[in-house]
Amino acid sequence: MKSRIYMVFVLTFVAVISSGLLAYFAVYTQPYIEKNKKKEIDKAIMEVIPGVKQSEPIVNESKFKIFKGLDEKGEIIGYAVYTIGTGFQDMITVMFGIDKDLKTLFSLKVLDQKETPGLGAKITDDTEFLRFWKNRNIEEGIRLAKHLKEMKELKINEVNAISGATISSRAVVKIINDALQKVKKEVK
Amino acid sequence: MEKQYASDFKISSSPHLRGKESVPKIMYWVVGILMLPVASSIYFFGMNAVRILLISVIVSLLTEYIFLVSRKKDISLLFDGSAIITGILLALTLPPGLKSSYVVIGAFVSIALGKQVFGGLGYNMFNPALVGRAFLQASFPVAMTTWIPPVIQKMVDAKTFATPLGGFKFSHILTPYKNLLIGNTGGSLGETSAILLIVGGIILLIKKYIDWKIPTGILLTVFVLEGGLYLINPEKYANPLFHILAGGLLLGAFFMATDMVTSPITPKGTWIYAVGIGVLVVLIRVFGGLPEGVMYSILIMNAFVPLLNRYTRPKILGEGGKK
Amino acid sequence: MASKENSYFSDFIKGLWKENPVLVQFLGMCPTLAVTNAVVNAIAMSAAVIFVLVASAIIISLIRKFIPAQVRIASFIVVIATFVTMADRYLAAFYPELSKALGPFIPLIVVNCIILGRMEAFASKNNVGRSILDALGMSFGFAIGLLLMSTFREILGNGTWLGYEVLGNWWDKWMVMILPPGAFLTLGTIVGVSKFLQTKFKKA
Repeated sequence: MKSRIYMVFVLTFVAVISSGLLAYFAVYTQPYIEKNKKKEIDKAIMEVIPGVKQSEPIVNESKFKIFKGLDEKGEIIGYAVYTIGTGFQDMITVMFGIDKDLKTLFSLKVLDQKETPGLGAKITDDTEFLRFWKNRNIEEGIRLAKHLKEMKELKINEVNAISGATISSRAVVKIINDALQKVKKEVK
Repeated sequence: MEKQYASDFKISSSPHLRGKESVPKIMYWVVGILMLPVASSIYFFGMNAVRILLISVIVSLLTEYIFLVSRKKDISLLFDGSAIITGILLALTLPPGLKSSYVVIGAFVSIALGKQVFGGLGYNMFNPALVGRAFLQASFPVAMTTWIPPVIQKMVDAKTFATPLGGFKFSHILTPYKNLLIGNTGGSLGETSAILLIVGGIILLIKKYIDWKIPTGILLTVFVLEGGLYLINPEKYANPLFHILAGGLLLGAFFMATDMVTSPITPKGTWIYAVGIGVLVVLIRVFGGLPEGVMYSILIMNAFVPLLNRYTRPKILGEGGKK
Repeated sequence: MASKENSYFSDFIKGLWKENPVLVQFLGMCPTLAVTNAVVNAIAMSAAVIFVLVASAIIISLIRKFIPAQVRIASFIVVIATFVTMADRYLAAFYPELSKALGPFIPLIVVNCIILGRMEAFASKNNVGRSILDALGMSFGFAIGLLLMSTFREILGNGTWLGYEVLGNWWDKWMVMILPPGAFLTLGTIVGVSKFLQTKFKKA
């Protein structure tokens, strides 16, 4: 009986000490972790809307966020959309900027992905993929070009697929088009 | 394993070869029959085919030689034909425009990792040529899925060309049956000409060098499953005949899945093995991300061969039934 | 551990080679296979393991006399989990990129057999000094294994080492090496070679 009480006492003691330590450490690191997350999103917003000076969240769900991008006078110049969708083998997280009339997609940035290295992972590659996403018309959604074209040959709503990684390219197009539908509902 | 085909009395593990056939004799017959797809690859892809075939066979033999010497084995094993077959088969599964250095890596991996690290011919679990191809596919995914058009097809101005299966999966274009049969289409070196593969397969079957159950099981399974899907929705799914003729199915079913070392030895196990490959091929082709899945299907079922042999062992006489 | 004089030294040195956790004991395979696709990940992982192993060894060997045998594993896990969580939060706060790359593998150090194994086999039976030496030896051994693996994989698979160009543009990256199959191929090759060397040295 005595040994049993002793057992409980020791384990409780160890657990209490450890939780105290952890609580202190959590409070200590929390602001840094939040700052990191915010910095990552802020940096992405700066990149996808040209000339943006500050931003305000309009929609702030865990998997879908819209930010209003404002210039120095506080006037709205566009929206940054953060969205997560299914890729070839895991989720793809992207951020893209659109103008305030929802007509043009300024540019696209892939924040997180686990596609096949060397193939689908090229969706983060500027020369092979992302540069084709500059200033696309989005009134009727984005489409993949039937075959590889030069930048100036692409229609205003077309982007090139990555050769050998059609599936990942399509996944990104679908994620963007789905997000655009949602944005049109949220922003009127 | 000294001389594998020595006539001295010795006890070896199964399969026990009987009769006049010897390993080299069968192997060289297979090499001879493989000349059919080799000929079609050279006809359709020209010097590229010659280059890849030569490099693949030479590097395979060289790697085999290095391993035999370093493991102090009988050098005459080098010419038992198995390394040559691996070299040819690997070359036949490669895209025609592949860089020579990749072929060297593939052939080395086939023999070294696919065969010799397990102990040489008879001890390998997986088809060596397919191990090499899988390694290349994982290492150089872009190069391994870039196809160039056959040399005689002049009308194509594009640098790349879709395989029949890729064309169907990604753009819903059906390649004409005539092209599939003759081989005038995109694809790996040796997989395009269905008619020559069928002829070669039939010769192998007549000579009884391959087990008829394996190609029959694979092709029937694919035909039935694809046929079922086609009946459900002919718009979305291709004609089962298309799936049989297109891609590497015939090459795989006749020449790769039938490898004596890496296929089961019991009749029941062989059926399970063959049907398993067929099911996997359909799953990968229809529902998977890749247009073609013969290589992975065979490799996956190779892994099950020891289990199949164990659980489908026929009853020993007098063992009795279940009570 | 032949004699008493060199036992301190052997406490440390055995983990590096003779009882190397990765190459000989096959412990901690999960991070060994998963995070060795880049040298920087291997270094961060090793650093976390060194911290957790040494810190837990100190605490466990200090309180070893107070812990009843029946709840010792539970207590070990609580102590280990505390340090692992601290390491995880620290990385997330100050090295967000690394924390993202290592993903769930830092929290998974809790169930890493190297750590629990050393606590049970060594730290709970020996004094603080020897426990620290043992923990350092084992965690350095783990680091050696991870560095070897990641060096091979990053150079062959990406042509770089710790992000620096090594092989140049002519090298066709062997993508397979930074994918999961490459981890198994590399582990097999390294273990094979190290076994070969060990038998060679024993004979000599």
